[in-house]
Order: sequence, then C-alpha cells, then structure tokens
Amino acid sequence: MFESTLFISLAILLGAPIVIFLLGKWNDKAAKWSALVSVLIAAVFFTLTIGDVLGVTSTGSDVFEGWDWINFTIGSRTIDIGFSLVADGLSFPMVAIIFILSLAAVSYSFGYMKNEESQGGYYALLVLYIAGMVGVVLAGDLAQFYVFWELMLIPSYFIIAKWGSKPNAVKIAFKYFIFTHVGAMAILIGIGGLWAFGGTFNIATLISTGISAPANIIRLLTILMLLGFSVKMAIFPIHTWLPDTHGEAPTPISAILSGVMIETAAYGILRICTGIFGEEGMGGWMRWVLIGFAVFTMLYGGLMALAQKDTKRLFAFSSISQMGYILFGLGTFELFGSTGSTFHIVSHALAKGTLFMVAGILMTQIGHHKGREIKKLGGLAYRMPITAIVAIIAALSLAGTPPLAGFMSEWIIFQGGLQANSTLGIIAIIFAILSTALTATYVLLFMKNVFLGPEKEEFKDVKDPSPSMWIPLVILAILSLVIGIFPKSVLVFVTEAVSKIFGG
Amino acid sequence: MILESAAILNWAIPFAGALITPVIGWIAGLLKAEGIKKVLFIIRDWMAVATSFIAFIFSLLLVVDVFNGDTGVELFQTEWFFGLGGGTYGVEFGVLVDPLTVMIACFATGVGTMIMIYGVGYMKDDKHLNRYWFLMQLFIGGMVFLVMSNNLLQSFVGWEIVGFCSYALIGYFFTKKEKQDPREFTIREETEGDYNSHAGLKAFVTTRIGDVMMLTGIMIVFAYAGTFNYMSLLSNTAWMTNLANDRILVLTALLIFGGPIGKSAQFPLQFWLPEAMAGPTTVSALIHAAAMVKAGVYMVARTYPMWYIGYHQLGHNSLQIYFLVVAAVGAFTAFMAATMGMAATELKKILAFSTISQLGYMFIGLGAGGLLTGELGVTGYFAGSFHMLSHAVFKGLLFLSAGAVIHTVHSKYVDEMGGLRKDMPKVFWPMLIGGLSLAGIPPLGGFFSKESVFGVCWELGEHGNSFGWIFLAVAAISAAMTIFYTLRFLGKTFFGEKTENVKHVEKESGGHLHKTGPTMWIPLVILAVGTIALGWLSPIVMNFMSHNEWFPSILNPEIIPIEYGHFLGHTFGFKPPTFWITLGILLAGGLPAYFFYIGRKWDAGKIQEKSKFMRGINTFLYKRWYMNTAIYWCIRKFKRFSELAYEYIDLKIIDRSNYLIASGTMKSGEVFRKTHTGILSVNFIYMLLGAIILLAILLFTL
Repeated sequence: MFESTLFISLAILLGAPIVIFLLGKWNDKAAKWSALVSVLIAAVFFTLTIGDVLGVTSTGSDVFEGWDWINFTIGSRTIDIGFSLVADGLSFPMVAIIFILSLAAVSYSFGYMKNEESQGGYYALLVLYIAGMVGVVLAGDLAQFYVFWELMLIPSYFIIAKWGSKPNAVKIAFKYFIFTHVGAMAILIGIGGLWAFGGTFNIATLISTGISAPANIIRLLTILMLLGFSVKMAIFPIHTWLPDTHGEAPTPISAILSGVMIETAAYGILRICTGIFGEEGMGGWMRWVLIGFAVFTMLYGGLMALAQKDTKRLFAFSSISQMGYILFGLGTFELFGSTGSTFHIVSHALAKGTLFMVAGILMTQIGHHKGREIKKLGGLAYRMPITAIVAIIAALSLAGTPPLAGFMSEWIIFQGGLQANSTLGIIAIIFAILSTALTATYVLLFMKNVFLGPEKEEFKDVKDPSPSMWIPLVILAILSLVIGIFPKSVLVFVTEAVSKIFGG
Repeated sequence: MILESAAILNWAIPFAGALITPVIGWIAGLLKAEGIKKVLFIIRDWMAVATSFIAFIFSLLLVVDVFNGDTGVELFQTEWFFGLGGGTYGVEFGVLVDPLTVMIACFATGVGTMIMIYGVGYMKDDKHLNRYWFLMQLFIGGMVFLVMSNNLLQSFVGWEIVGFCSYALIGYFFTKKEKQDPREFTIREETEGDYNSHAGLKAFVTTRIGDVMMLTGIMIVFAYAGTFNYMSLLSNTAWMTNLANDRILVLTALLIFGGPIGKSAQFPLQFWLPEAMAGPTTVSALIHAAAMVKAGVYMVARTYPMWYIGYHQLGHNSLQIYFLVVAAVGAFTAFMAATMGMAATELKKILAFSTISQLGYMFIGLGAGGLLTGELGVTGYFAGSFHMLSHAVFKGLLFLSAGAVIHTVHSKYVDEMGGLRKDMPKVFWPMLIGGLSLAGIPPLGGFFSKESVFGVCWELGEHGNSFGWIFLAVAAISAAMTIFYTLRFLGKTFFGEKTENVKHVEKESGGHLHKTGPTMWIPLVILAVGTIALGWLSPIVMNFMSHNEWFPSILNPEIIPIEYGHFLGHTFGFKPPTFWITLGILLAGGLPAYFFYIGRKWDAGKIQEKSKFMRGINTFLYKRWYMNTAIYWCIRKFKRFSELAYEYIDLKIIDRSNYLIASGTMKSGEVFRKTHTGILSVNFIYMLLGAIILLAILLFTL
C-alpha cells in the first residue's frame, strides 16, 4: 500500500530512544508519553502492511523492503550483506504480538515505574529493546538478524542491571548476558557456516535454493543453531538464567522477556533451522531428540513451578515449561506442529504477559517483597476483582482450557506429534498433555493461594491499581478469549506461511 | 424442522444471558436509588430463569422435530479453522440434532429451569449474585453446547466450559471457613480454611486427568480419520481399520473413555465429587447431579455407535475389551459408592455417593449393551440413556429437597435432623418420591430405568457371556444398598424424634421451623410430578430414542419404531426373572433399613458399640475405603518431590554447575595470570623457549 512502511516503523523505534532520553532529562512525564506514542506510531505503520500480507490489496506476496548494506570482495568471494525487512504470514503475527505486548508493557510501566529514578533512560532502553525484537523478526538477512539479536540483548541487560530488584540485579543481569551471549556465538558460527556453504546471507534465497553441503556439516550447523536458540528458549538443562532474570527484572520487562523475547528463538528455529536446513537438519533422529528435550522441559518446568513460593519465579518456570510445548511443535518437523508452535507464541505471549503483570500489580499494591510471596497472600479476589478475573482467564488459557487461545494452539501442537502415526509419538503426546494437567495444578494453586481463601485483615485496604495498569491487562485477556473463539484470526496468517517454509 | 435456529438458540440464549447478567449487576451497583436497584436485581435474577426456560422451550421444539423424523441432521455447518496441515484439514463448527442430543438438552434446561427458580429463593441473601447467575447461565449454555456439537473438538470446548463452571461454583463461597475440613481425618496439616476453593481445585484437576486422556484419544482419532465430525466418523469407518492395524484401536477407545471416567466420577477418579458438595446446593443439584456429570455418559453414548459398529460389523474383536472395561468400571463404581453412601453422615454427601453409584449403572448399561448383538445391542444404549434421564430428574429433586432441609435446620449432618415430616410436608413428600424413585420402587421412573439396566445384564448372561451374570449380581447388590441408604437418609431426616439441634433451631426462630418459600417448594413439586410421570412416559421416551439415525445400520428395519409391548417385553428387558430379582433386592435392602431408621426398632449405634467388627467396617466405609487418604498421600509426596527436585536438582546441581564453570574460568585465569609477570628476564626465557620449540618442529618436519 505504502512504500517502506516497515522501514519507517523500525526507524521510529530506533530513533525514538534518543528523543525519549533527552526528554527524560527534562521531564519524566514527557519521556513516558513519548515512549508510548512512538511505539504506537510504529505499530500503526507496521499494521499498514496487513493488507499486503493477507493478499487483499496486492497479489498476496510478502512485503519485502530491501537495500544493499555492505558489499565487498575478499579474494574470489563477494560478501554481500543486504538490509531487508520481510513481513509475511510468520513474521506478521509475531511482530503484531510484540507490539501488542510492548504497548501493554509501556502503559503498565506508567504505574509500575512511577517511583523509580531516571525514567528517561528506562523508557529509552525499553523502546530500543522493542526495536531489537521487531528487527529480529522482520530481518530478511542473516547478518542483520544477528545484529538485531544482540540489540535485543544489550538494552535488556542494562534495564535489568539498573532497575531490577536489589540486591542481586547486577549479578543476575551478568548471568543473563553471558548465557544468551554464548548462545548468540553459536548462532553466529552457524550463520558463518550458512554463508560458507550457501553463498548468501539472504534468508529467502537460502530457503528457496537450500545449501549444498555434506550431510554431516548440515547436521552440525543445525545443532549449533539449535543450541544457540535453545539458550534463549531456556530448554533444560540450559534454563537456569531464566528464572533468575525473569524473577528479578522489573515486571513489565519480565512480561516482555517471557511473553515475546524468548519466543523469537522459536521463530528463529522455524525460519532458519526448519526453513533452510529442512529434512537433512531437522528430520530423522533429530526429531526425537528435540521431542525428548521438549517433553522433558515441559514436565520439568511444570514440576519446578509447583515448588515455587515466589509468584514471579513461578511464572518464570512456567515459561520454561511452555517453551517445551513450542519446541515440541517445532521438533515434530511437521505442518501441524509448526503451525501450532507459531500460534502458541501468540497465545502464550497473551497469557504469560498478563500473569506477569498480575504479579507486578500484587507487588505495587501490597509491597515489593510481600506481594510476591505466595504463602503470605490470600483472599484478594473481592479486594481486587478486575485483577482476579484477568488472572483466572490468563491462568486457564495457559492451562489449555477451551475456548481460550491456549487450548487452540496446544492441541494443534500436539496433533503434530500424532500426525507421524508412530507409537513413540503417542507416548510423547501422553506425557506432553499430562503436563497441561500439571500446568492447571500450579496456576490454579496460584489462584487459590493468592486470590481465593478467607480474606485477611491486613489486606482490607488493597485495591485494584490505576487504569493505566489494568486496562492493558483487560485488553490482553479479551484477546485471549477472542483468539480462542476465532482461531482463524491467527491461523489465517500462519497456515500458508508454514506450508511455504515446508516447501509447499 | 419447525425452527432450525432452535438448535443454536437453546445454547446461545443462556450464553447471552450470562454476558448480560454482570452488566445489569454493574449498572445496579452504580445506582444510588434503592428502589431501581432492587428492581434491577430482580430482573437479573429472573432473567436467568427466563433464559433457561426459553432454552427449554427451544429444546422441546427439537423433540417434535425428532419425532417427525429429523434426526441425525447437521445444521449451521461452517468452517471454524481451516488450512491446517498444508490446507488438507479443517475443523468445522456445527450442531447435530438427534435423540440423544435433544434428550440431554431437554433435561439440562428443564431441570435447570427448576433449579434456577429454586435458586432465586435459595440464594437471595447472597451478596455476589452477579457471579452466581453468570456462572449458572454459562453452565447451562455450555452443557447444551457440549451435547449439541456435531464434532468431538467442539464438544471438548463445551466439556471444559462446564468444567470451569463446576470449578468456579464449587468454590463459590471461597472465603468461607468450614467447621469441618472436607479432607476429614485424611490429612491434618494446618489449614487456612480455604476448603471451598480447595474442593474446586480438586474437582478441576482430577477431571483434568481424565480430560488429558480424552483429548489424546480425540487427537488420535483425528490423526487417523482427518475429521472430528461424529457423522463422518460413523459413515466412513476406514480409520478404525487403520487404527486396528496399528494395534491402538482399543487404546484409543479407552483413552476417550478416560474423559467420562473423570467427568462422571467413576473409579479411579471418583474422589472429587463428594468434596464438590462444598458449593451451593443448587450447584450440586444442577452440575453435580443433573447435568455436568452426565456429560461423561453422553460421551460414551455418543461414541457407542462407532465402537459398536467397529466390534460387531467390522469385526475388531479387541473392542470387546473396551465394552467390558466400561461395564466393569461402572459395576465396580456402583458397588463401591453405594457402600460409602451407607456410612456417610452428611446429607449432601450421601446424595453425592449415590450419584456416583447411579452413574455407574449407566455405564453398566452402555458397556453390557455393547457386547450384545443386533437389536439387543440397542437395549444397552436405551438403558443407559433412560437411566440418565430419570436420574437427572429424581436426583435434581433430591438435592433441592436436601437443600431446603439443610437451609431449615442449619446443619448438613443427618444425625442432627429428624422428625421433620410434620413440619415440612412440602419438602417431605417430594423428597420421599425422589427417594423411592432412587431406590427403584415401582412404578416410579427410577424403577423402569434401573430395571432396564438389569435387563441388559440378564440378556448378556443369557447369550452366553458370563460377565453378564457378574454385572447383574453386582448391580443387584448395589441396588439393595441403594434402598438401604435411601431409607436411611429419609428416615434420619424426616422420621423418629426431633434431635437436639432441630429443637434448638425451633426455639431460636420462635417455636416453629423456618417455612420453605414458594420459589423453593414449587420446583420440588414439579420435579416430583416429573418423577412419577417418567415411569409412565418411559415407552414414549424409548420410542423417541429409537429415532436414531444409526439404528438402521445395525437393526432389522422392521423393528423400528419399537413398539410399546415389544419393548416392555423383550428389548427393554422387563422380564419376569429380573422383576423378581428386583423385588427380592428391595426387600433385602429395604426391610433392615426400615427397622433401623424409620420404624426405629433397631439401633445401628448400639450394634456398632457392641461389635468391633461392625465398627471397623463403618470406619472403613466412612473413610471411603481410605482411597482419599491414599490420593492425598500421593499428592503430598508429589509436592514434596517437586520441592526436593527444585532444591537439589535445579539449584544444587544444574545452577551450581553453571557457577562452577564460571568460577573455574576465573580461577584458571588467576593461574595463568601469574605467567604474565612483566619481568624482562622471564619474558626473555619464554621467548627463547618458544623459538627452540619452533626450530625443533621445523627440524623434524623438514
């Protein structure tokens, strides 16, 4: 429809932090409003591509905006790095959910961060962080993918170190940085290998032509890439950075971390591992290795979540468990599973974003330390009805209860495990679905211990928070319900794009 | 069809009502004027009654349609999702009209309307009625949606909606602190008094375990058949052959049966239902007696034709195991719950055990019927569905009456009631009718339906399957216990002397017991009339059920519609032998109970005092065979395991190893740092050493 809308959208996100930071020097209020407005404008520009992505306004091709970026020759080989942005059925819902959750988080920060210092810096880094995520997902070129991948890491590192809960914030931010950076190194080597054997950095070209390398090399590159992405997804046993980080980060950041950032790795697996390496990389025994890790991760995460006494750590372990679901879908290397995983990114972002923000509301309304200790809470439902209703919707969606979004994505993922028609698949599925019963247990135990039970005298003055904090939650909860009833609204983007990834 | 949209409106209207309820309540909450506020609240309350009643009327319209031959009709089919699996698969949305569907829709909305009317009176002092009416209407809508769906996935959506309503309504009084822990003797840990929400959680998670199995089964079916649609699954049975070739046909059938085991509270997942009585009585009546627990029976009946055809026509003999398991689970549960019912002390809990036991009968009927061939196979289907219908009416009635009694005497223990016959006749007579129907006294509805289950077992035995005799024996013994516990709670409540508690309540309210209001007793009378009528309407019900689209494929078309005489004489299993068995059972169970609890000639307490053995049995039954204890033990250990795993595996091994790697790196850095001393002579030695090594390599390689 318009030229370069994606570029404008990303440019706004990249440029705005400077303005926000400078405004923040003068006035906190100006900083936060400019952050909200800039993300909103970027989101609007991005949404303009919807017609093209769905094929309503043009021939139905993906939106592609590309330029030459770096171009030089070493010896006989030309290194040709492009800068291109691609919105298709996969990246569109992904970026859309990033924008939705980011807007919610920015608005939520108004209330949550109001007593913190140097807010200009916080909002500037937050918007830069959002730019990193949007850039990763829209990247049409591997080198550019990597740049944004690191851009996603750095601002979040600073936010956690500065505004995370004391006294461990710096230490935990460092742990986060080291873990994800080691993962990123593995990805970088993988990207190098792809260039060496495929001759280009362009993802679309690599998907269509494939790479000509010996089978062992392809397998090795796949494993490297998967390792890198698994760190970000916090797959067992490289998950320990996640509960610490998500537990100690400021709550809006935890919501983004859990809701969308770690899912960018899932997106990476689907685009790069499944798309480029295909059967030679992801097929065969690799399928069962991934499914094995996935099932173990979901059960392990659920088991750990059951043992938690702290709300935010509980949801952090729950995220690990949910990443298991997504890895399961991707690991099936099959249309149903991959479609379901992409769908689950959306529904998990809605549910987990909501739950983290609920945990944050408890912290602001009750106390930064007391508000996160599950055992000390109880009987809050009549005191904060909006929060309680939103929390139960998100909790049930997470537990895969129809007609909420979580159910629709989960059954499509699990259906993927069965399409292979093998007994091993059935066994994996039974364990995998059992973990939804585990999920139901820990989220409902959370509901019971926090919102239900007898009312306590000490909480009699607790109230729902200010509208800037609950309105985003209500919107997310309604989206969970609407997407669950009309799964078409996500699947319309995803199904075709996934078939394309599989060469259909 | 008279009105096609009736099949959608009968669930859409309760859903709409559910959504409007909080809006009205919210507006009323904002108003200052007391008068308008009150009017709005009355509108909100009666709107719930109206929506269920309208849904009932629409369901009745569908009854007429089915009698006119519109059966197996799928309406409003639309694409719900599409393009899955590379565009090959899609899931549709639609409704299915057939006798089973319409019958359940009718009793869910019909009994539901009565319970709603009752609820207006019963719940009138509660402060949070927005939530109550929202959930009740959501439940009615969800239940009808579940049965009207034309495919498995859509049914599963309804299945979970009703599950959620059950969870939320059991925990309705979530701030209440009960005098007695519902976990009773089983665990003694310090409690915060959160029993209601605990009971809700227990119900949800326990049924979830069943749902997990069912969802797996459904998805296996989809993987092989490529569709969820009931009619397509019946018309094209190639998927069953493929499943059988992969040797997982019976596994799939049993996995799907897992859902009903959870939802209908059958062994081994039966332990959630007694605690579910923590909710308001109306909820127990509607969700945990009349409607939701029938969803499991519905699912077995809905899949019955598929497995039946698979077993008898396609010759997949492994499905025999499926039908045997269904009947055996039903029989065992019927027996077990009946024994527990004899020792329970709370009125509602006795009824809960009774519900579990009666649901077992339905499964006996469906399971045993599946093993019979030809027209006899249909008898099991009839027996199961007919017992479901009559149970919905009389158990709804019993719960509502129990609610009225508990409301009046301020106690839920039968030992604290007694002698209420004269004081509350409007409750006594309906409850007596309901109780006698439960016990299976002719000619009430319960007699015919239970008799038909016996008939099916008899036929199975006659046709050379000795399991039939076992099922019959277990069912008969359970029926004897049924009449025993029925007379026990009726006797303890209404007969004998007034207990101290009743006298105390009487004194407090000024010499007479609190009167039951008209919104509460009128539904009781209507349901009592329904219970009596069902006994005589049974031929019509059977005729209605016989309008089943899949019957022609397994039956000789000439037998349809099944005639009254034919059905009473043969198909229905109303044979003299089973009739005499029934009479014997009624006497065997009824006479002792009469002398113990109504005539009060014998005293059960004294017998227990004297005999240690009897006391032991009583405790064993009272503690529910210690199954609940065992479950709680497992759950506690599991929770402890998760905590230990977190402490030792996650923190001490995995996380620690990360730090060890980090500190190892640091330490090795420390060590190597010392080589960089900065002293010129040392550096020179290193350089020299390096040069020598290089030279050596050069020498040896050249």
